[in-house]
Amino acid sequence: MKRGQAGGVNACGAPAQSGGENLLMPVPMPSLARRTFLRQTGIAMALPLLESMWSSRAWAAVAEGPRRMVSICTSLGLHAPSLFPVESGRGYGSTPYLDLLKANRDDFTVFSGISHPDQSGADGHSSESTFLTSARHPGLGGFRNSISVDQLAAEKLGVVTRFSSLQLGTSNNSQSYTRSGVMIPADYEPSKVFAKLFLEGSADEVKAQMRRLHEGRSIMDRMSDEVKHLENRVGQADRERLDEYFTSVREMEQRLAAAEAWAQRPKPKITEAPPSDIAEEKDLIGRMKLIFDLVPLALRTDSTRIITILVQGRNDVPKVPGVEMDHHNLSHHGQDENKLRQLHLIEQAQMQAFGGLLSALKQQQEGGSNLLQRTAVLFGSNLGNANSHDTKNLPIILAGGGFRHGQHLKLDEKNNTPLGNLFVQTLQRLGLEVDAFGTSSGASVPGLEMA
Amino acid sequence: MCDPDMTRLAFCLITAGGIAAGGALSARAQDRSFFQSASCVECHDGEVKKGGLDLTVLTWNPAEPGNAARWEKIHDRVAHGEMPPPGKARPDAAAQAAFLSSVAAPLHALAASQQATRGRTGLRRLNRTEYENTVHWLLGIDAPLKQVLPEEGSGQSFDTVADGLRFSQLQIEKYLEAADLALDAALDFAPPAGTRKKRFSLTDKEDIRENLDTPQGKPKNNGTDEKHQVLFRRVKGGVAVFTDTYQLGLSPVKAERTGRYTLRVSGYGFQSRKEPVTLILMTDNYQQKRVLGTFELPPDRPRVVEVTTRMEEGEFLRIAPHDTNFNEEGKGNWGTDAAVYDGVGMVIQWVEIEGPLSDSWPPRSVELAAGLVPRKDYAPDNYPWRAGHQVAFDLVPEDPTAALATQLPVFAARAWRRPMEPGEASGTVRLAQDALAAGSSFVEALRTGLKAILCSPQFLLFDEPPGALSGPALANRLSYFLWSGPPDEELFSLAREGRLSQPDVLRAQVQRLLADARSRHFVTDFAGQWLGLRTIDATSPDTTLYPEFDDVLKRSMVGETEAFFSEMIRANRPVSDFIQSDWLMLNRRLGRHYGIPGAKTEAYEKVSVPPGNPRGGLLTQAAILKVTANGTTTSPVVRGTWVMKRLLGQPPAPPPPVPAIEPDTRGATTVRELLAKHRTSATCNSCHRNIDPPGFALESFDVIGGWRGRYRSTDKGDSVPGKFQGQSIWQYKLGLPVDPSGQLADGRAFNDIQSFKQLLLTQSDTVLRAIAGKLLVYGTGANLDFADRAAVATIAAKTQAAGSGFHTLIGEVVLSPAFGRK
Repeated sequence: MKRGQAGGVNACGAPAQSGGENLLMPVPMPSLARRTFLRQTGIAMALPLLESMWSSRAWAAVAEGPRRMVSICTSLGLHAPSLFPVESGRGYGSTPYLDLLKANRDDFTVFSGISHPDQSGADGHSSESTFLTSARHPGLGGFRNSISVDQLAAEKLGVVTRFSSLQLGTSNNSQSYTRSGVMIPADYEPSKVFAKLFLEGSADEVKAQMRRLHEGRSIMDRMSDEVKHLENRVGQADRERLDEYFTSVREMEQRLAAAEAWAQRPKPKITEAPPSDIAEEKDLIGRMKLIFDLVPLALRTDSTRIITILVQGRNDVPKVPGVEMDHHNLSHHGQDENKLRQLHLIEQAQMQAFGGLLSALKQQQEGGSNLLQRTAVLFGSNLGNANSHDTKNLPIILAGGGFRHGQHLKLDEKNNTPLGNLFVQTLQRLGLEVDAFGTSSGASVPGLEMA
Repeated sequence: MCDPDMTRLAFCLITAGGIAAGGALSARAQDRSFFQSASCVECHDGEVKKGGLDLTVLTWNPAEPGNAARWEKIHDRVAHGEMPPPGKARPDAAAQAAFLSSVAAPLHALAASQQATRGRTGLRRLNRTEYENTVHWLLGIDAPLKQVLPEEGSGQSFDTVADGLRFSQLQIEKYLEAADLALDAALDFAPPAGTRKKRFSLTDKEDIRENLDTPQGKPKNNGTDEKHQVLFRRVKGGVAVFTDTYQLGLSPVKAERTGRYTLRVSGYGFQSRKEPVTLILMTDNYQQKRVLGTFELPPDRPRVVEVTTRMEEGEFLRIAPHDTNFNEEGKGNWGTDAAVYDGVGMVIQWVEIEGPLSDSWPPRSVELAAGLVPRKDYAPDNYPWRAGHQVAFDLVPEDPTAALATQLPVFAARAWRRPMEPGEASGTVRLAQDALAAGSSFVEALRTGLKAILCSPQFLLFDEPPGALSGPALANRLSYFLWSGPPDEELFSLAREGRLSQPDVLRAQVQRLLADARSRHFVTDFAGQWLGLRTIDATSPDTTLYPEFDDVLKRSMVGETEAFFSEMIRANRPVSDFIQSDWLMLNRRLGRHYGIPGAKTEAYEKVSVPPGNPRGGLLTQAAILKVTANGTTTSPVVRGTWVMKRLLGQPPAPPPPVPAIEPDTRGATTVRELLAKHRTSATCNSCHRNIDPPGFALESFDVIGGWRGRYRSTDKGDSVPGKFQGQSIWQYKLGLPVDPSGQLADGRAFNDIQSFKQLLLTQSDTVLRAIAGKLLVYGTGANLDFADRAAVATIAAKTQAAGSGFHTLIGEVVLSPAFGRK
């Protein structure tokens, strides 16, 4: 990417962070210190960094081009017999769903026999909340979600971009969870996302925003002191929760500081026109496509490197020609042929939209490569068989991201490979030094290799 | 941050507790070792490790939470007679009792000592409902705030439990956002709106007039061969409508400004064959519709229906006729001129909107936020604009610095809901004064201070130091339990006088709070979570299999269960009525669904269950039957789990990693046949002999809570007799017969839901204890530990002694020591 490009790694001045002065270290840093440094910045997710803060090795990584990750989940599953090929390996015979991706056949791998273990939960759809976290038994007694794979990646990759990550969806639910297991709500109005990424506010709006950010910081600063009052009123065993409040306030303060710094810089200029939102909620496919359209724009301007998208199936009749029954109901098809036929129509439209996204990413050149090669795109569902709410044998496709693709990796249908293993491998490809994630049992999926 | 002396003290106390417990149990160690050496190790050894349990290496170290949980589970499975499993050698009763007490006594002692030092309830923040109710009270506003805040995690049984109420940067960000929304609504300087009342006829709307005045069948001339369809008919004093059409979005009946409005509609059933018809009222803003209520309009006799609601600027009224638009042949209005159509419809005489309603101007919220500050009024012809709105006045204190120092501590004292420590608000005052000094206006600086208070830990967290709760802390706990909101002046003053903890005072306050309208939050928040009603929208029933299902029925279902719950409190009905009652709270729609006549309108009335009818109690209420089904099929496993977890308080262990049975609606097999393995496999059977039987009994009810003798099928089966809305039923067929019989784990058999409920009634004590436990968890925000078992048993015993009434039970929970201490 071009140095100094608006919205990317940028040389304009960021203010010194309160409590973060030690971050402004002279360059070059030894690589070990850089790791420590990255870990420290984990608490300050959205801090904009200065070019001068980067070590030569970090610069080498930038010269190669940023690595990114996009995850997409369609929450009502994909009918397995229409998706999974019979044969494994590169010579697999295509299927009705994979036919719709044939233009990009060499750019993705389809996995069968992969899932998170122990996903039975409070109800048949609880695993929606753990698709990116792998926490066991969602919603059952004492359940607490854990950090999602995108947020772990964002702690490291998100520090240089205006937005550490984006959560998009067809409703305000997302699959991104913070370290304390809180869901980060999704943006579901593409026009607002577009405005947030690319449109400058009026002078008055910017002034009001600056005022609000500054006010927020002063309040947060005040709250840090307020906690001290309370310490005397709170028992020893409760100090931990009070600390959690304190830490959250400090993180908010740092985030507001970062936002102030970004607010003073111009947003990237693009020629594309802003999208018009689709108000009709049952137009699931139309809404999904509008969200997909934002992905290449956000990535190519380096506004963020991490995006999660949740396409949440609904209890109404989606606007797809030939479909007359509501989507959730069709997913519980009970083998009824009429229902299966309609379910296929919806899922085919989803596959087509996904194929469109892959092509759009591939068309976008970047350096000697293209966006798709530098973006790992995960597409799948938290349900393997929505008819019975089964959470094994998930439909999973991984596209791009610098892997050798073009194959069906057929894993054990009875004894599933943890999906966490694929997450670890993906994180490593993104440059993170991790060897485990959630319920992973290994650091890679045999048969998936780097390009 | 920690005080080293405090740390040491806490450590000593815990150690001392451990030693005391350890001493008590070492004498009885042989009782535990008995089980480790006897029949149990046959399966639970290092090799077989049934259920992942290896007794040969299990140590006794209950100070470690994982180890205590393990022993608690062993204790419960033996105590419930589940282990050793049937067919295996069992120790005699005395040995078993000795074993149980050797585990229970030290587990109890340990938990009790932890409670004594730390308290039961961890530091707990307001949940999003409590936050909204509290801010509404503080500022005298009704702007929705809840949806701005992240949903609480789903891992706890109730969203009041401290463990689930966490903080994160995101949470704080949303508090800042919610505070802005609240203060925008409160600091409302807009000119007086003036309450206006306007009455409309449907013919005041141009598109309706045009539809009426264009002849039926006139070509539309829009390039297609479409012809005009007349949808309305002028009748004396009104307009008859038959079908739900876009013209019924009554855009002139609109809120010009955000505020509270009263909407009235006068109408009656038209050509409805002596039956009422249903009118649905909604607000609409072209993007989102919000149902305000459904109303039964009597045949041929006008009724005025009325609803008062907050409307956002630009929202307008939409009306929809429901269960209309069919005649004797099942034909709708379409294709026939409405002037001669003979099907069921309704007449709308007039529609009225009155508002915005307000008690005073400027609104009370200005004074609650800013205190008594001099006002500078602008001339009406010269109102200045601020942030896109006209303002009629400004707040201009003589000495803004002093005004901040006066008002912010007053507001903080209310927000923090307890007596303030000296100087506790001074930091906030300084923050606002600094903003003033830096050039902010008085109102801006005030806002900064108020916003800080609304994000402060004192506001967000409950103030409960270890030990007995102080008066204000008890007042808070009580009001958040029964109102999901802050205490009122009466509670606070009792707390200040130190009288609230007196049993007779507390009992009277429980009575008063439950009789207050604010206790509706207890109904929706406690019952909504206990019974799972919050998931009523999770699935929509298959329209082919259940053509009679509609939104009115769905809303009535939840309304029924809430009304039943409220009546249980009001009439202090015995808790066993939750299992089986000879009365129900029904409205007309549900009465039709259940085949129980009596209720005439949309309101819920107490109706007797006719002899022989299977309804009565919670289990056979449509809402419960719907939330335990997936919209297409029912599963005895899901419903059985519901009964065990919610009614008996014995949640089954999470299922093993085997796929659930695959629903099949083609009519060739029944779910009981698919579940045969649960009986034939000993592993499956060890849990499913408890889980499945209640579900078998409930198989007599379909996914929308209708009674069934045969499953509905999309493929195989017989055609359905009878008619629906004038047409014969073609959508589905009647498939295989339902078998609702079964056998409880203890061997007692039942034939159907009635005889199952009779068996369940013998477990009324278990149900009473389970509900007592759930109330205690919800009301105190702490999960039950081993020591709480005794507390729950005492609450249950006292309730039983006083007749087992539900109102009595709630009172006993509040009076229990567990409720009165942290």
